[in-house]
Amino acid sequence: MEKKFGPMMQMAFVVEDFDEPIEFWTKKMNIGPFFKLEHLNVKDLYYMDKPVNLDFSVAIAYTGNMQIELVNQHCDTPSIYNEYVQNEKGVLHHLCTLTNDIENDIKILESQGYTNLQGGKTQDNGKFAYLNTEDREGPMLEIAQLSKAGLGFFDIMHEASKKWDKKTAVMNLGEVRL
Amino acid sequence: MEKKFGPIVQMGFVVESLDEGIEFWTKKMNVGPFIKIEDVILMDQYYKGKPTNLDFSGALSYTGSMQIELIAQHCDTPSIYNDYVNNEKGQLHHLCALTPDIENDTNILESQGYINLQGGKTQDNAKFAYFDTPEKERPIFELAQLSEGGIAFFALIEEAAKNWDKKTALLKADVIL
Repeated sequence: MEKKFGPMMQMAFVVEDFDEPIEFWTKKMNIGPFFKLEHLNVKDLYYMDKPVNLDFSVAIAYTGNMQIELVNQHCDTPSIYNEYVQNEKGVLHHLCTLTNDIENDIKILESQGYTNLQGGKTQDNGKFAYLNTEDREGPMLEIAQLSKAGLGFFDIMHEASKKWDKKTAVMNLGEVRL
Repeated sequence: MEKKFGPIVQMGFVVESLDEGIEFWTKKMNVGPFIKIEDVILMDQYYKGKPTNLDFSGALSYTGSMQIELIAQHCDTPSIYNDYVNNEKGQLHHLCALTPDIENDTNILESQGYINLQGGKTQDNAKFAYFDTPEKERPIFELAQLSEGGIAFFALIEEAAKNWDKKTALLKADVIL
C-alpha cells in the first residue's frame, strides 16, 4: 500500500477579511488575479469527528503552479480555521495535495500518526480532509480528491494567472479568456 | 519601474535538525529526495544593516515545481532564522522568488514599505535578500538573483524529484557532479 497523492499544489492562509490580504498578494507579491468563492456550500462537513456546518469563503490565485488560498471563516463555530491553530497573520495554515484515492491515503497517513481533523465533500462529491501530526514537524496537510469539474475549475484560475495584467486584483470566472 | 521577479519558487522552513526535517518530508509528505548543502559558504552577509557571518546548513527538494528548503542554523548569531521570528516547528519561514534584477526589485519593495533584513552572495556571485514589512504580518519574502549555474543546479534537483523512488531520502551529490 502506498500513498497516491501528488505534489503539494496549494498553500493556504487564514485571513480575517479578503480586501487587505488580496491587496498584499497582488500589489506586493505580484500574485493574482484572485477568484472569490463566497459562502462555500459543502456537504457532510465534520470537525473532530462531529458533524459541523461552517460558513466560510475562500479566495484563490496562482503563483506558478502553486495555488494560494485565503480562507475567511464568517462564523464562530470551532474549526481548524479558528480553533485548532493559533492563526497569527501571515502564518501558513496548511498545504494541500490532490489524490485519486483519498481513503487509501488517509489510512496510510493515520498509520503514520496523523489525525483526520476535519473534512467534507463538495456538491459534486469531491472529497477533502485535513490531517495533522501531534509533533507538528511540518504544516497541516489537506488531501483532496476532486471531480473533473473541480480540476477544470482550478485550471481556469491557473490559466488566468499566466495571462494576468498585474492590475486586476479580483476576477470572476466568466471574465477569463481561455 | 516595475518588479521583475517571477512566481514563488521556494518555501523555506527553519528546522532544528535537518535529518528530522528530511524524515518528515520524505516519509510523510512524499516529498524528496533532498540534497544537503552543509555549512554553506557565503560572502558579504548582513543582518539588520550590519555585517554578519552565519554557520548554517540547508537541504533542498521539490514538490512539483515548488522547492522546499530546510534550514538549520548551527550558531547563536542573531539572524532571521533564529532571532527575527518565533520559529515554531513546521512553520513556514519565507517564500522566495527569482529575479533577473535584484536591485530594481529591492528598490520597489522598499518603496512599498519593505525592510531589507538580511542577505548576501554565494561563491558564484548570486545575490539574495530577505524582506519583511514592519507589521511582520506576512511570510518573509526572499528575492534571489542566481547564476546560470545556480539555476541549472536547482533544475537538477527538480528533475530528481520527478524521478524519485520515494525511498531514498537523500540525493547523492554524484548525481550532479
